[in-house]
Order: sequence, then C-alpha cells, then structure tokens
Amino acid sequence: MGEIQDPASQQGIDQALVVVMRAPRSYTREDVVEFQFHGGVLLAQKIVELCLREGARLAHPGEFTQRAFLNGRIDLTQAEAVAEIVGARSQRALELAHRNLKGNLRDKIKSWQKTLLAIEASIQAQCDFLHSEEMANDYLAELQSLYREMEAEVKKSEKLRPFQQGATVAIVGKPNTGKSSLLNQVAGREKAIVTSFPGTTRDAIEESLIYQGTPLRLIDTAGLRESQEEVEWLGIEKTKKIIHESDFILALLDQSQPLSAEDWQLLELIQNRPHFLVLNKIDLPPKIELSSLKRTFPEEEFQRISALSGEGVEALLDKLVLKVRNIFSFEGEAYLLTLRQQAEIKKTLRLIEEAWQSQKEGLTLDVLGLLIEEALKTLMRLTGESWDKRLLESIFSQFCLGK
Amino acid sequence: MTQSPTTEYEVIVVGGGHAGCEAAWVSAQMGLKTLLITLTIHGIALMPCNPAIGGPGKGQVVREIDALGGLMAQVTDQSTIHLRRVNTGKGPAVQTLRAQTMRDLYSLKMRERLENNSNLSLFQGEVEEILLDSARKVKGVRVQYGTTFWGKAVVLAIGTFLNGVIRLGSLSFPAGRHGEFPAQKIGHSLEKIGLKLGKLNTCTSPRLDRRTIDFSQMEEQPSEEKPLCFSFEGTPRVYQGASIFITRTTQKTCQIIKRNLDRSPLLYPVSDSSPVRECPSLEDKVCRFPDRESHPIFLEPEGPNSNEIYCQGVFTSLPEEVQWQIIHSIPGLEKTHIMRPGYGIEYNFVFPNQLKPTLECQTVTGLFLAGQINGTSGYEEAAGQGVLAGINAGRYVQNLPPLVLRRDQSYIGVMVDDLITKGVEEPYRLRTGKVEYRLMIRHSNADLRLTEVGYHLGIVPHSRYQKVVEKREGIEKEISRLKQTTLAPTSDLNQLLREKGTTPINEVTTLYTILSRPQVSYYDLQAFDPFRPFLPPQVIEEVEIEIKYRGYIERQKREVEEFLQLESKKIPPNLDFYRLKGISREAQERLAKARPTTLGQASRVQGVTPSDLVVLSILLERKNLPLNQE
Repeated sequence: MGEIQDPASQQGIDQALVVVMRAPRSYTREDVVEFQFHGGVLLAQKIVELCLREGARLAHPGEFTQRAFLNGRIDLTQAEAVAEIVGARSQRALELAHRNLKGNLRDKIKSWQKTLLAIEASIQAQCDFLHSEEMANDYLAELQSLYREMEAEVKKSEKLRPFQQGATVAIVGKPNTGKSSLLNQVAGREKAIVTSFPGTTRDAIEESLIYQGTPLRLIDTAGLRESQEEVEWLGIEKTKKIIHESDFILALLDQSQPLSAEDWQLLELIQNRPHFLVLNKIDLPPKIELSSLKRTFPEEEFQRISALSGEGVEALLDKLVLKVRNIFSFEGEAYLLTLRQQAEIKKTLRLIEEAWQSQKEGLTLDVLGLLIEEALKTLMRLTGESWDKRLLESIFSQFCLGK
Repeated sequence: MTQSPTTEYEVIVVGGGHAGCEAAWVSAQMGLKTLLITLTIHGIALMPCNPAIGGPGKGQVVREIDALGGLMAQVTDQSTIHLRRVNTGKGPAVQTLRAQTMRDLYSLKMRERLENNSNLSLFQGEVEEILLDSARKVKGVRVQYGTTFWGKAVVLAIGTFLNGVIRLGSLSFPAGRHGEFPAQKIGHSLEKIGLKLGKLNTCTSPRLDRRTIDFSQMEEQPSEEKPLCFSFEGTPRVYQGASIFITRTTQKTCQIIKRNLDRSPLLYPVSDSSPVRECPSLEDKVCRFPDRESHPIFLEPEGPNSNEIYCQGVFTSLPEEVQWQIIHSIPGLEKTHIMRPGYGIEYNFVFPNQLKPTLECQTVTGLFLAGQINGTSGYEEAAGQGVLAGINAGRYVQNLPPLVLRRDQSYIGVMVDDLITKGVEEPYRLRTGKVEYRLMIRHSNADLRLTEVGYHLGIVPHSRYQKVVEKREGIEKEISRLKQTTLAPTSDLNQLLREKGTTPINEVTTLYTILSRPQVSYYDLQAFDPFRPFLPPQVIEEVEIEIKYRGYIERQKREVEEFLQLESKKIPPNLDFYRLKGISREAQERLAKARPTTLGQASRVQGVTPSDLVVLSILLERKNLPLNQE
C-alpha cells in the first residue's frame, strides 16, 4: 500500500495497492506485479502511460494467457475458456466459460478420445497380431453412438451462441413505420447497456446491447429499399435473407395508416418465423383494420408502442427477452464451444461418418483404421496433445485483450 | 605394432545375425572391402526363435530390404516350406506375406551368399574392444587372442549377445543364445567410449518332437495354393506338405502357470496404459487376462528334415519341470516330448536415442549400430537396420552423404525414427499401426519406393532398376487406358454388377469408374474389356489399389506434405537445449538426450509438450541460438 508518484515531477498520482506474485505462483507462472488503484478510466490511463514511459510495454492481445499456456499452467481448452471469459458478453456465457476453465469440457473430450482409442486399438490388434484373437467388434454401432453424442453436444452448444454473441433480432417494416426510432429508443434506455460493435451486415444498421443479462443484436433493415427504384425486389430479397437468418423478428406496422400491399407481403414473409407484430405510432389515431389482420394471425398478441414517446417499448423488450430465452433454452448441461472447437469436433464427426460409410461401401479394415486414427488426431488436437503450429497461432490471435 | 595388409578393411561388421549379414552384404555390394566377424561361422543367420519370416509389419520390411538390394527375401525364398498371404481382405495397407522356413537351410544359404562375395571376408572370433583415435573416430577392433583389424567404419550388430544371461526359473547363466557364449568384454568397451546401456529381456518357446504330437484334433492351416514369393526377383511357387496346426491352452494350463508364477524370473510389469503389448510371454498373458480361459497355440514346422516343431504361443521362462506340465496340459500334446525347452534371456542394449537417423553413434564417428543391440525384436527389424547401417557405413567410407529413410518412405524409416526419438522401454517391434502413411507405403510397392535408392547406391544392378521403371510405366499406362475406355450399360454388364452386389449403371461409364467400386475386380471385367493388354499380376494389383483407394491415398499425400514441412525445419546439431528459455526443464532434458535434427522429429520426442514446440519453433527462427562449444 502506498502512493504512486510520477518520478519526473515527484507528484503523487493516487493511493494504490501493489501486489507482487512470485513465480511460479502466479497466473503466468512468472513474476507478476499487480497495481490496484481507485477506479476511473482517466486515472488508469495515466498510470499505464507512466509505466510505459518508465520502460514497460503493453501486453499483446492474449499474451498473459499465452504465457500461462507456454509455461504449462493451463492446457489448450482452458486457454480458450479464458478467451471466452474475457469476451463473455452475458452472465450465462460467463458461467459456461468458467465451467470449461475448470476442465469439464476437457473431461468430455477425453472420454470421446478414449472411445476412439479403444476402437483404433482393436483394429490394430486385428491387423497386426495374427495370433491374437481380437474379434471384429461392432465398430459401426460404437461409432454411431459416439457420433450421436458428439453431434448432440455440438447442437446444444450452438444453442448457446446467443449467450455468446447475442441473439439477432431484426426490425422489419416498410419505410416510415419507425424502425430507426425504435432502435434509437431501445439504445437510449437506461437499462440497456449498449456497446458499439461493427455490424455484420453492411446494408443494415446493427446495435448490440445486453438487456436483463441477455445479449441482443438489433438489426434495423432501414435503407434496404428506399434509395433506388428498380432495386425494390432486391430490397425484398435482402429483407427475406435477414428474416431467415435472424433469431427473432419485430415486424413494425404503422397503425396510423391503412395496411398496404407491402405490409401484407412482409407479413407473409414472417409468418413461419418467431416474431412479434408491433403496432407503432399509438400516439396517432388508428386507421388499421385489425379484423383482417386477426384473420391471418389469429393467435397473435399485438404489441403497441410509440417509438417516438417510448410508450410500450419497455414492455416490448421485457417480452422479447423472455421469448429469446425460451427459444434458446435446453435441457441438461451444455458446453460452450468456440468456433475452433466446433470446427474440430465437426471435422471429427465428418471423419467418423466417412469411416462408417467406407465400411458400408465394402472398403477394407485398413481404411477404417486410418480414418479413425485421423479422427483421433483431430480430437487430440482439441486438448492440445498433438502439435500444430498454425492452430496455436490462430487461438492466440483470437484474444482481443491482454489476458 | 606392424600390421599385415590383410588386416585392413574399409567396413568391419561385428555379428553374424540378421543385421550383421545384411550390413556386410550391402557394404560389399557397394564395392567396399568388408570383414564380417562372428562368434561362430556355423551360427550365421540363425533363427533362435520362430522359423518364420514376415507377418504384419515385418513382411513389409523384408520387401524393403529386397528393394534396397539386401538378401533376406531371396534367402527366405530359397528356404521356404510354407507361405501364406496374411491380412487378405483387410486391405493393401496391412496385407503382406509370412513364410515358414527351414531354419538350417536359411543359415546355410545366407552363408553361401556371403562367402561367395568377392569383397567380403569372414572371421570367427570375439571382438573385445572398439578402437578409436584421438578424435573419437573409429579405427578398428581388437579381437580375442590377439588379432587387431583396422577399419574405417564399424557396424556393431551383436544382438542378444551383449552381456546375455539366460534365465530359466531360478537358474541363470551367461549365454548369447542357448548353447552359445555371450559377448561380455565388448560391453565394457562400449561403456568406456561413453555409450549408455540398458537392459531388456525376451522369451522363446519350447520345441517339440513331431512324432509325439497328436494332430488329429487340431485345426490345420495349409500353405497358400496360389504361387507366391517374397523377393521381387523371385519365382512364385506353391509349397506343399508343411502345415501349421492350431491348438489351445486349457484351464489346467492356466492353473499350472498361476501356481508357478513366483518361479517366472521375467514377468513384465502389468501395464494399463497400452491395450496391446508387443510380445508377451504366456505367463504375462495369463496374468493380464485372467478371465480368458484359453490361449491359442500354433505348431509350426521346422522342415521335412527335422522332427522339431516350434510351439508358438508358449513363450516362457518358467523352469523346465513346469514346461513339461504346461505342454502336457494342452490337447494333442498330452504325451509330447520336448526337444528343446524354452528360455528367457536378459541382455544389454544401447539406448538408441544416442544414434543419428543414419544409425551412426552421435558421439563416435564411424561407429554404426544395428539390430537387437538398439532395443528391437525380430529378425526382420534387425535385418532392416543392418541394411541401413551397412549402407551408411559404406557412404561414410566413400565420403558421400548418408542415406536417411523418412517415415513417409518406408517401414525401416518409421522404425529408426521411433527408436531414436521415442526410445525403447520394451523390445521394439514393427507393426502396421505404427506407420502413419501405410496406405502409401505398402508391401506391394516396396520396389517402386526403394529400388531406385538401392540402384543409385550401387547395390541393385541396372537391369533390376530398369524393370521397376517399366513396371511404373505399365501402371500409369494402364490407368490412363482405363480412364479412356468406356462401357455401355448392357444387360450383361449390369447383371455382373448386380451379382457382385453393386448398383447397375444407366449411362456410358469408364472402366476406371466401375473399377473404383470395391466390389468389382479387374479380373471381373475381363469379358467386357477385349483390348486389355497382357500385364503381369503385380502391375494389375497396383492399378487396382491406385484406383480403388485413390481418395484415401490422396489424403495421405496431403498429410505427408504437412509432415515434410516440419521435417524440413532443421535444428543445429550442437544446439544447447538447456539454454533455451521458455522450454520446460523436462523437455530440455528429453530433447538434449534425443538430439532431434528436425522440428518434426522434436515433435515426436516423448515428454515434449505442444507448448515446448511452439517455443522451439519460434526460437529456431532467431539468429543467436545458444550452441554448445566444442
């Protein structure tokens, strides 16, 4: 405990706690010094600048974790879990990433490795020991059940994606129904923590926010059709695509205008997708014929808002969050898989599939052995047990923060 | 001391077993004045265990030896009494041959070949010391009773003779093979020049008297009806009259063994890490698989001139008195007479991580090690190393670059790489499963892979190389013909396809496409392919494999490319691993011991983690690497 001083000016900057962690009892297994001082971005910045001036350098993205990995403190799945925690955008994602850090995912993968190892060992025994009595087991059944288990795990983990990246919610509607106003209204809510990430769709405006612990990515399709005349169908094509790819749709209708052909076209598009029908501009006198709408959407509960005044917006968001959570709920446990982990597991799945396909087609046992061997290598790579330089580079370049 | 010219040689090979014979032969074939020193000339190329050559992983090596110009395949063909294809139906990556041979004939034929090589001399004696000059270069060997031979390179292939001790129950006595003296003094010489020795053991089975065996209840395994041969130069033949017979141990056998377990001197520790152990004794099997009621026993003939029957499956070091009980508890062997009891042997070996990929010692220039002294088991493994060591001893004397066989080129390459990078904990045995690229490096294409190498080394004659060139052209030509020849969907053809269990075609299709179906063979399509050229069966076999397994072979080729990238990253030979920062202490030790020459090899050293390798790869790109001062 002491005061941080600028050695040049001899001026005190802040009262701070300095913690020295001696190797190997630190996160990186190296000597580490940690400064703890009073909050505030400016103060932090000032102290970091001071350190840099005195000869320190900033950590590269992921460097602390990389060092922890290189010094044997954590293994690859744990290193990736750290990346997830650093990047975790919601409470749920944080919990899941924490579980991986404790090694749950690694245990799961180890059990798959064990199954494949057993099959491979049995094949090799048959091919290499003439005098052994290893019988041809029912590899296909074993492979199929392993395949199903792994596939289910990938699918469950895909369901966790919204907690990782945010559920995509598309705001659709013809021009001037108030899409941008709604977006602004949402972004302006005090309860919503808005973070600006670059949008994934170039033609649409995207706003990321965490509402009641659930990360959402609101996509405003405004501007899709308005600029050029002959692009009308193109606009519809893009809207269609967004509707198809989004997890949830908010379809805006201007209740101060009668329904137009465009409105009906849109309503048709969203009919089979999870959605809310949002009647905007409730501050203006209604001109919409609800009866015909109700014939098309008999079960529909209409959300009424005024994007201008903000009336009803909070209620809409509350319901939206409930819906989104429902869509992505699942039974039991799931493991949060990074894209690389998913890719490796999917590659293993393809190899397993190819392996049993080869047997169905009548190919010989040696081919089965080779494919299982490759599947095994892929799974080993997942726990970092076999080496691939490119893989490591790509993992550590994925970090966007030091540690 | 004055030396007469006759005691000066270019290459001296110590040991007349399978490694020594091949090493001496290839060295002499390369035109080098070679001396083979052996304890007993009548014991040359003896098979102290099974009278069999080949089998999975081993047959492939025999073919590689043949392609490189070694003798094992040719001598096997000259002494075979029973020959079988093994792993047929399991695919080209694992398929090979296994021969039963006449033990004595193999030995005689090998001796005949060696004695008639004009560059090669034989000498009977025990080498007691390897002689080095002041620069730790080999300059010769000193033999018991006074003779010294000067040589530029020495190949040491002394097998289980290095401090060999036979163990039989509580008995133990020094021996090389049963009834022969061990080599004891040379062990001190090796330690004196700084080589670290370890201890291994292995067992052999009792030999039985054919006349006292009741074969009537046993399953018979006859020799193949199709003509076959091991050597690419050989004439395929059918062998008759010498069958293998199969019987089984009983519960009584297990009880006898369990009762006497404490009398087995060489019981391996039970290992739970590996599902397959390479060559267990019967005692081991009984301990590790207590639930199994019986184990198979293969009775292998030793030839028409001998009544000895080799009893495969009863590897044991139990006392003789127990061996009688064991044999008599087996159906068909109730009244059998044992001619030679089984025994265990314990011997020293040189930790092979002290070798380069050329099989030369890292610390002694001109000294090459081959065979069981490097911790391997099996005649074929020994012979394969003998060929490589003989070649490299020759190359060293010729002052030419050495031959290194890579993992993607040959079984021999896999074996040597495993030995020098992974080390040895139990006798090393080759298996197809250890060979990653086994679909590319097959029994059937060893000639295509290695004859050219043997030719350029001066071992294989030009005529033989020419044949391989023609074979390769023949394969390529036929594949492109099959790609261009089409068949119409006639009812005859579709009927054939249906009979073979595959779907009929409904449009004009190339022969190539039809042949890519696993169910249809080249011969099946004979009637539909009237302009088919006459081709030797070896060419047709390769054509079929290349077509049917094309996708998988392509996949392996891509893997090999990745593998070669790592292999191409060289590690300086005098790199000081202990001064590399960021690498764990354990990895530093392991790397310093194994002294890998490439990053790829480093990646296969045990105990070196992925993170160590990342650091190593980053450091290797730097300029100021810490080097040992020497």
